[in-house]
Amino acid sequence: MTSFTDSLIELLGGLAWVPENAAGIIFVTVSVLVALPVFLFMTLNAMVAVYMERKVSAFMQDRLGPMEVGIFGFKGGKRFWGGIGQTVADAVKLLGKEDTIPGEADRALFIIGPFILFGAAFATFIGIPIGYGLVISDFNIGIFFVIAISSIGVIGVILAGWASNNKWSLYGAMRSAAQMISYELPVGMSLLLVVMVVGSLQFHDIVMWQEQHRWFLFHSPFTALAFLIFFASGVAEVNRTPFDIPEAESELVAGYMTEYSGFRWSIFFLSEYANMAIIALMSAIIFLGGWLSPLGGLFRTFNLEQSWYFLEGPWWGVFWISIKAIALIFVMMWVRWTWPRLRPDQLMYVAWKVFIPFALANIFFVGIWELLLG
Amino acid sequence: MSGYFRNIGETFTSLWDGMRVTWGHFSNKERLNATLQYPHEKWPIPERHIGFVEKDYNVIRSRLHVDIDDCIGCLQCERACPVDCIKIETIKVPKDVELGSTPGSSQTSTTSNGTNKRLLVGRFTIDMAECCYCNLCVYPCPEECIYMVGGPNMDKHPIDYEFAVRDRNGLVYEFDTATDEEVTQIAQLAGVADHRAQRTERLEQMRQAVLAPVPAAEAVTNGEEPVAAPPVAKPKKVITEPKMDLAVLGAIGDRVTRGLAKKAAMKAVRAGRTSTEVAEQVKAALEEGGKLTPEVADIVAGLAKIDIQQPGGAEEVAVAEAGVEEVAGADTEAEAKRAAPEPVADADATPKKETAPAASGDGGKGKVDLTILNGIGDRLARGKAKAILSKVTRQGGTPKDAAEQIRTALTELGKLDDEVEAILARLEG
Repeated sequence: MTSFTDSLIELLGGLAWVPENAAGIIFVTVSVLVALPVFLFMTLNAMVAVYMERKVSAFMQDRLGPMEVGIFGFKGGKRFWGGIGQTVADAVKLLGKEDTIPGEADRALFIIGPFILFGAAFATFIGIPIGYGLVISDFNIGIFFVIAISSIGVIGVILAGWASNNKWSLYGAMRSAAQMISYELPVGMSLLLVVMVVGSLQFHDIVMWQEQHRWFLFHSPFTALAFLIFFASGVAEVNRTPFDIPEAESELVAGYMTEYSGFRWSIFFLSEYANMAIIALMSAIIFLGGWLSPLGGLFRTFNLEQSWYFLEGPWWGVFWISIKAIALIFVMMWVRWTWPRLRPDQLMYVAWKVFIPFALANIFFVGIWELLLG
Repeated sequence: MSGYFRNIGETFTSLWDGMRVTWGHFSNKERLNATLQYPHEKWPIPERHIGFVEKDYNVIRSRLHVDIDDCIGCLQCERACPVDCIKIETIKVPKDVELGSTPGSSQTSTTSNGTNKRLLVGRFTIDMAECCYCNLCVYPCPEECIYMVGGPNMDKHPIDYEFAVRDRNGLVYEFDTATDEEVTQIAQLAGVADHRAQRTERLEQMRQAVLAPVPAAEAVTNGEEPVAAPPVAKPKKVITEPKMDLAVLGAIGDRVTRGLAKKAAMKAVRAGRTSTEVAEQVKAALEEGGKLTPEVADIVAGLAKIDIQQPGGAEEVAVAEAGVEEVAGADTEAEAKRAAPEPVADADATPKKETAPAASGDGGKGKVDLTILNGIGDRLARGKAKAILSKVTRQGGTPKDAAEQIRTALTELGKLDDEVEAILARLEG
């Protein structure tokens, strides 16, 4: 199994003009080279997702959303897909804003906070494949790595809330911590069940298993339930409505982000949308067959000829995984603009009294299912 | 336990209901969209129906527009306008000239209805800032050339209800198409005043007035230290015609007599007579009117002693030495006069008022401060008192004598009451 990092190290090590024993130089070069696409992906993701979010929310509320801002003279559709350049304009505006730090804030923590959150989201992408072999580094403990690293983000949230020296920020941070820690459990348990079936923590192995058998969503009613729990808990982990009590606008201004502006605020924003993409990609990989074509199973079922498999090349894989991720992101937006926010006690109820018992029971039942039918 | 599962079930169904609703809006966005992208799209302005037969009284309140080629300059709309926001100026075209026949003319000789145009509309402005949108100007128009745009008149002019401007002058819509040359030409042919030229001239005058340099004297504001102020002679007033201080005639009690006398005096002064001649003429006029009593004659005779200010004369009051001293001097002068109406040669005031008009110096001889008697309520008594006071003063009597005489006279008339007594006491004091 190759990965982006392995290929780069091999390539650089094999080059004639690279001095021998230059592991340090190669290490730094490779780090920069792999960080760049991740950063670009996160930025692009945020821009597209923000535009999508604005449009989806607008259409669900009988509005039009951004319609006026174009880019390179292209404004998008006249009636419904206008305002293509809106997020670019917003990004430029955000970068041009004054960078304020409250006088009573803890400066060091205040500055560090958003970058810890961003760092967590950034590092998580290292382990997530977006196609066959298209991964920065292919860990054999992929799922464990992703869960562990993405949990670091909560530290950044707490730091931001604490350092702001603002009661709303602190409330938001405390809620966020409580929420993230609570929902780590159902996420871990529903993934544990998949690991149990596949027998590996590696993303590639999981997709391979799905290629040989079937998507986990359709594997058994219990894995389908696991997908539901995973996705719902994932939405809760990225603090989106209906689980957005950490930044509940109507009660906490903007939660832990209240005192942030300009670039630092946009870092929060970037991380939030990156986390959305992470949850969507993970759901797609683990439960929806990753980069497998949704038609592949169909062909195989009916024993069609090999020429029908053209939709399953490595680049088609990127297309399919993107489609699945975007569909899931759309569902997140759909949910956000439909359901009201949960109360903190309801939130805890859902996590501890519904998701965790069900996820636990799921593990047991999946074990039995595999024993009898597997 | 069953409640627990029922709750979960209900949660799913109700959440799904909500999702269905938003999906319904999302998938029907084109039909349900409520946004009107304003500058690109516009709602049609609602028409309003008034009157009994709707189709006959179809009214729209938008912007007034004039098809100026159809305007015959009848001024009906201008007269109908309750707020006078329509201004029209026309020139009657001579009989032998056909409108629009002159080379380069922008005018048509007939309207679209075939009516002959006999008036050149040199000005047709509508101030939409003043317009009250009553539509009253529309009905009298015989050619139907003034109307509100859009609505029922959509085929004549598209709707326009967004005419916001930065300057209020921008709301004055000029509909006239006649050129300056044309107006001048027709005005010359018709032998009437060229209103365009007049307007240009007026505008030029106003421009000049604005551009004119501020006089140096004006620039000197009332200094905080009058002593330090440079001695600049400030022209107080420039007299353009002969003028005479007619305050003396105020002593005439009877209002009709006073009016007659003043009128005659003014006429004589304007005709350039001397003081004596003025007095003669006033006397003659009063005699003619049968108002000449001995008292009045006395007062009128006083006119002869007042100098007439001639035009062109440097009537510059030396305000240079104005300030505390001048004010103080004026005060003492006034006090002196009040104390002793005899025009004492103001010893200390004279040197400062070398260039002052004689009217306030010598003329002061026949003048006395009669205002003190204004407090007397009864008109007859007041007139009598004033007449006596000025007479006594002129003859060199003191206020005490005057008061004594007034008292006697008013007692005879039966007008002497406490009020008058108090005033007389003040006069004596």
